[in-house]
Amino acid sequence: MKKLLFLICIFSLFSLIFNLSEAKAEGVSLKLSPSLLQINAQAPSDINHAFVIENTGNNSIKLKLDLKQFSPDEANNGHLEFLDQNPNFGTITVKIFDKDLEVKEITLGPKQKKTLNLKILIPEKPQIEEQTQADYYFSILFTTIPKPISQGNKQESFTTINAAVSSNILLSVQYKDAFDLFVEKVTTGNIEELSVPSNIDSGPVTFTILARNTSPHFISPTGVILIKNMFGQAVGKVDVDSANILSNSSRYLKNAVWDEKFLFGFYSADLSLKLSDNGPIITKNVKFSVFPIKLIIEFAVVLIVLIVIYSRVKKKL
Amino acid sequence: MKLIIFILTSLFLLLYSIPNKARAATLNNQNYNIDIQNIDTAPQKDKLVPIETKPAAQYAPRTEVKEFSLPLLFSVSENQVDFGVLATGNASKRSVMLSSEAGSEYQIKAFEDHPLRGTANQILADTTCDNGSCSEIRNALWINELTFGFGYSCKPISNCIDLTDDESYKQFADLSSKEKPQKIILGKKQKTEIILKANIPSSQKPASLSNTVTFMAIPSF
Repeated sequence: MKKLLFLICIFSLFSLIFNLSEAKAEGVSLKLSPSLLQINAQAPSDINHAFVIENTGNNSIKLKLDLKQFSPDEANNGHLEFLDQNPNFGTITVKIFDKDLEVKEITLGPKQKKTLNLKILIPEKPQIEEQTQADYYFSILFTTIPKPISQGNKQESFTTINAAVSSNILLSVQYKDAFDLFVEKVTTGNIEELSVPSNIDSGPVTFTILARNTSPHFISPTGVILIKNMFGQAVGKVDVDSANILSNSSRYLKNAVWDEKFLFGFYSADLSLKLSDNGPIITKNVKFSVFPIKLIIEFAVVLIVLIVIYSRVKKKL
Repeated sequence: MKLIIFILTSLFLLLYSIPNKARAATLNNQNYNIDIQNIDTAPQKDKLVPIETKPAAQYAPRTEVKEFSLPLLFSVSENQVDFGVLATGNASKRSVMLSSEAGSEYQIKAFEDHPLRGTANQILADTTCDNGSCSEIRNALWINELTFGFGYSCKPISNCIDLTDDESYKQFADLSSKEKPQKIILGKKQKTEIILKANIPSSQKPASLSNTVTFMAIPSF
């Protein structure tokens, strides 16, 4: 019994020694909301909106706050590219406040949540006198500021890891014109692409929609696709998910899928896209066919084999 | 019957022919006395009285804010990655776990502040992989133990953009060379292991080299 206890102690001691690993710097875990703000404002305006940043990790962290303007990236998928230059909002002031103090850095304790205020001050007059409309797209970026970590061995190499989260703001501002009136926003655009895959042999059918916004302000179009068969009967309807399209840019509208599985023949799909609450509605049509070619070939082969067998049996008889 | 109709009709006519008493104030009473010189009964043209109207569009400025409140969650498992003492022919690989979740599709962009660099300006350049072709936008295989540099790969490779093989690597975009942060991951909810690899050439003496890599989680708009 004593021997057994002694062995257990030795074993535990060895386990402890060999399991002692070098203390690693723990990572970072962040949560930020909201992830997107859409603001339509008429000058002058004083906008205040709350953001909540949370440290969901177990260590204190320090975060740097930056404002970065962006443009849509070339993939037209709703992803952005930060602009290199310093933010330029014309006469508009954009600041972040922690209660009444403007902040550019904050510290969050473990599991601490902080509510910050985004303040946007839009004066009555624009930067350019005749300007009646201006859009600004920017992100608030929260980036960790690393704590200096002491190195044991002076010849060791290391990479410090920073984490950042961001929230996007789409700001569209209207200014009064020379007659002291707000000019109504005129929305224009077109459907650059409406297509389906070639050689469809069965459903579901995925529509590719690329919409272009040629207005000077961002839009959030909504749409519907009505599908008719070769007899002109309405056989399907697909709601097109709304997505923001920035001024003078294009975007693929995703998730336009006709879920019907069993399809056969010629079809026609009409897309109607409403660019804004006040229109316009733009349309485009695409025709497609669905023929289960593999199934037809297999069926034909089976039929031929059956005919051959039948004729041979008949000859013998 | 005819008599009844006659009586009713007469009564009806009688009732509606009685003139109503015109109610009007008199010109004179114990309270006042109205003195009218002339009453002009000739028809008059309506005088157009200017009415002050505000043009329809001139209303108080209004602001509309729409919030998409689904949060963005982002975690990075390490604050620092220690490669140890780098030695030629013995590439050092270390992992960082990235976890992210958002209501809409997001991208993770990454960049380095500069290549791995020592205090005496020794530099370990970003890898160009075995065939010399990889960059911050192009991947290539990095298997040869004599190929030096600094780069990254990921697991599973399906999570990362433009990585085609388990042993293919890319450079991080180098901010000091004015390279733009590059998209490395696209998704809605993912866990990805980023593998950082560093290897020094035989001509380089061991030294402490360091840099900073930033991973940014950016929601779509």
